[in-house]
Order: sequence, then structure tokens, then C-alpha cells
Amino acid sequence: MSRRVSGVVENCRDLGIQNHLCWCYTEPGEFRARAVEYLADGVLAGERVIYVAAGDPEVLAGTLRTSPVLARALDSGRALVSDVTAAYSAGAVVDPRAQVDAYAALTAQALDDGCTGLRVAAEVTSLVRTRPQQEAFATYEHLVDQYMARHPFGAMCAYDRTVLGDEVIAELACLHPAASRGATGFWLCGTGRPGCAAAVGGDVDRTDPDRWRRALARADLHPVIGDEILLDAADLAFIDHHGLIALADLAFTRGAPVVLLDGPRSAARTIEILRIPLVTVGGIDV
Amino acid sequence: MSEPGFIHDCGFYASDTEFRTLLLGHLEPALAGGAPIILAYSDHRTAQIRRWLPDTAAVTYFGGRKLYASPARTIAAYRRMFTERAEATRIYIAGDVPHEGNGGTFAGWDRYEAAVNTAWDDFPVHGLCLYDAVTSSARVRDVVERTHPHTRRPSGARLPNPGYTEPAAYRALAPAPDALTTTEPLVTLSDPRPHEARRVVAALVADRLTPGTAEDLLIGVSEAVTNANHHGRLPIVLRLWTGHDRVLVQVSDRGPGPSDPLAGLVRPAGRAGLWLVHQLDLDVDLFNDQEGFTVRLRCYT
Repeated sequence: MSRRVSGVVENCRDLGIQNHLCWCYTEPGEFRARAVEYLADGVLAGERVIYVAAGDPEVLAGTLRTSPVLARALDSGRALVSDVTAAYSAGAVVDPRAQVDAYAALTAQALDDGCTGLRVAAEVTSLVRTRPQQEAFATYEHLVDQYMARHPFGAMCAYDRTVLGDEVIAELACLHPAASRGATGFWLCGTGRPGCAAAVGGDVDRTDPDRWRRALARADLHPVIGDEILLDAADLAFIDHHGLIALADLAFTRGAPVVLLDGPRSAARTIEILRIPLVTVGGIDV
Repeated sequence: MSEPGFIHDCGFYASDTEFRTLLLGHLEPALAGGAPIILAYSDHRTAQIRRWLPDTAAVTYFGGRKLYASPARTIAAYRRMFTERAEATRIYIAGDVPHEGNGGTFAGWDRYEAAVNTAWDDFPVHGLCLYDAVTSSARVRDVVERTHPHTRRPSGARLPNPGYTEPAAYRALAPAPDALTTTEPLVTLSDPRPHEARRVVAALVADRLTPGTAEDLLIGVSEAVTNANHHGRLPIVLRLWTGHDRVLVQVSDRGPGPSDPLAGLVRPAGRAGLWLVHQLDLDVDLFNDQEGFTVRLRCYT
């Protein structure tokens, strides 16, 4: 299983399969250039690629044809385009589970067709304009990330910052293991680490305590094995006492202690001093 | 009328004989009834007291002043010991609060002396704080009399202190300035967010502090900056100095600071951030000046 890239990414190059990137942009042309880079890397890695955005399929294909690699892939059927507005009417709310199932089927098809996996670059701003859309899509982002962490599927989810604003962007970005600069301070995402319900990384502090609690609720965390909720916290730089108390509340609600595997020593210290129940830091000599 | 939960007496002694008279007078009911006793003095003084008292499991000794690590930690440590002795109808304690006359620094401990009047009032505890009348300055004596409802005299008399001030109205001594702050800081951050402050401070102290001390400093910095962002007023300024033996971080904002003069010393029901900072292995001082409110964190290399 490949190592997933996590944290802030400055570009969309050299991201292997299973990576899940949130790319926030302000210039559509800049997004298209990143998407082309990202998908061309996928073709060179033997993957099937799909470019999903709003627009006429011919126009979308024209974007891909700016890359000779993608132009050949379009001709051979290795690269596909999809008009997101054709699949979803304005204001439509995605069905999170159905959407994941659809990508799982496309991944299986790609493998059957001899590809090494499936890679998607999707401009999905139109799917998260309203609060109900955002709620459903946030749930989808976490579910699809869980799938991605264990299957040969990768995606770049692009959001227009000028349309959505920083708050909505952060709400969605924190459900991706990797995001463009300034999108989110922490992430809660899927993981291939055995026994772990999710991975948590970055900085969890009172800058966005409600977002952390909402992310925990959306992730719907439960023990994978045993009776503890194990979180892969190797990339967690810091979590303050507000964040730890949110974990204690989660543990109480679920009836299962939470373990931050390889989490920061500062978290263990805070837990010790405040005697925060049901949360421990595991895997380090504390 | 029943005795209050926490009884807080002070006393001043001018000789070992007076010290012995005051201490044994305080402990007499405990020794007669087998009540638990907790004593925290220097190793020398502890050895002396051991010779005066019967060898009984009811007495717990803390030598080397290790119980008096910092005001907030001392309050918490005593609370844990009181909880462990929950069956007692009264617990008797006596200790040597740091001040300049016994090698310590009184600023900060004055808040402790005020805070314990309410911080321990849910326990049946009788405390006696004995100060050396020779080495205690007039300023220390004044504060002691304002933070203890009664003074015990070597004669056995127990007299009310007319200047006693309720904890909520107590105005703390200003901490002594640190000479490092007269020099140019190593770094100054304007309106930092908590993660920015942590990143910068972590990078600057990595090769100066042990990992454990550095982690405590990062937790403290994070909480101070978080509080400034949420409860203070802009602009927020973080300054960091390094000396040959210490690292000093000050986080200032233009607000008035906490309204509770004893903030951070007693764990509140809700917001625990400032209390957490005071439990770390750091010297923590809070002060106000014309510029606003400042949290000062110091740790030693």
C-alpha cells in the first residue's frame, strides 16, 4: 500500500494512486492547468482518468487535449470527461453512499480493463453551494476517502474559493488528507493503517473547534478491532485541550475509549494534567 | 455556628522556640485525635520537626520544599491529598511558602495565599502558614496579614486580621520584571494565530530546551495565544527572549485580562486553559500595565 500524501501540498504533481487532494483555487484557468497535470501523471502511471467539471464535454475534452499525453488517452479511452451539471441538476444533493459505490464500480472496471487504478479530477463547486448540499457532500468526502485509503482510486477535488468562501472550503478540506495552502489547519481522513478508524493530522486547536467536532461527527468513528477507537495520529502536530475534550465526548457517546496512535507527547501531557477521561496517546514512550 | 471548611491562619516567629510553640499549638488537636497532618518544609526544618513529633503514620512530610513547585500546582497537589483523606473530620497542614526571606520569590505566592481561602473551602482543613519575622519583609508581612483571616501568636492567642481582604477583591503583587525584557527579543509576532506561534517558538527553542520542557512551553504558548485571540483585544504581540539559562515568552493583548484576580490558580468548571498553563513546568506570571494584559512564561535550560 502506498504512503498517502498528507498536509499542505503546493502542486498536484507526483501524487500516486490513493491520494485524495482538496485543491482550492481562485482562477479557473489555474485549476484547469493543475487538473491536466494531475491527470496526465495518472495516465503515465497506467491509470484510467476522468475529468469531471461543469461544461460541454467537447469543451472539457479540449482542456485535456492541451496535454499530448491526455490527448492520446482520450483517443484510446483511457481518459474520459464528464459534465457534472449533466449528472446533477442545480441544487441537487449527492447521495454519499451511492456516489462512493459508483466510483468503486468505475475503479473495478478500470482494473478489469487492465489499468492500474482510477484517478479523477473533479470541479465540484456546483455540488456544494447550499447548506444541505455541503452536509451531504462532506459525508461523501469522508466515505470516499475511507474507500480511497484501501483501493487503487485517487481524486483531486477542486473548489472555487471565490464562490464558496473560506469557511465552506475549510469544512470540506479538513476531510481530505492533503489540501492546498490555507484551506484547513487539520484533517480527519481515511487510513490504510490496520485497526485504525481514521487518521488525524495537522493542528487541532480552538481556531476551529466547531469544525473539529463536526468532522468527528461526520466521520462516524467506531472501533475497527477490539473495543477502542484507534486513530492514526502520526501526522498530528498538536491538539489542544478543546480538541481532546471533543474526543473524550466522542468516546463517551460511542462507549469506546479513543487512542491517538503515535500522537504528540504534548497531547499526553495535556491529558495527564487535565485528567481527560477515555482518551490516551499510544505508541510512544510517554 | 459550625467551623468553616478551610481555616487559614498565619503566624510569625522570631526564633526556633517560637516556631516550635506555634507549630505544636496548631497541631495539638490533630495529635490528640489522630487527625491527618501534612507538613511541607525544607529538609533541615523537616528533620527538626520529626524530632518534635511522635512517629505516626498520620503525619506526611514533604521535605526540600518540593510541594511548593508553583502556586497553582501546589493548590492542586494539596487538593489531591485532601481528597485522599476524605474520611478525616479535619486535616491539619503547615508549610513554608516561598518568599525572598527563605530563598524564594513571593510575587505569585501572594495570589496563592489569597486563593486558598476559597480554593480549599470544600475541605475540612486547618492550615497554618508560618513566616520568619526576621527575614520576612514588611511587604510580605502586609500581604500575609491581608490574605489570612487570623494570626496565631506564640502566646497561644488567635487574633483576627483587620486588614483581611476577601480573595475576589485581592489585588496581586506585580511580578518582578525580568531583565531579559530590557533587551531586544529574538522574535516578535504580531497577531499570531496559535499554530503560527507554536511553529515559530518550537523552531527557536528546539536546541535550547529538553523535549519535555519545550512541549510544556508550546502548550503554554498555545493556550496564551488562544486566550488572547478569544478573550483579549487586538493587537496581540508575542515576544520571545533567550538568556543563558532561560527562555522567556510574553503574550500581550490590549484587553483588561481575566476579571477574576485568582484566574489560573483554581480549576474552573468550564474554561480550563489558563489553569492548564499554570500546571505546566513553567514559571507563569500574569500582569496588567498601561498597554494591557500579559502572560509571561519562563522555563530554564
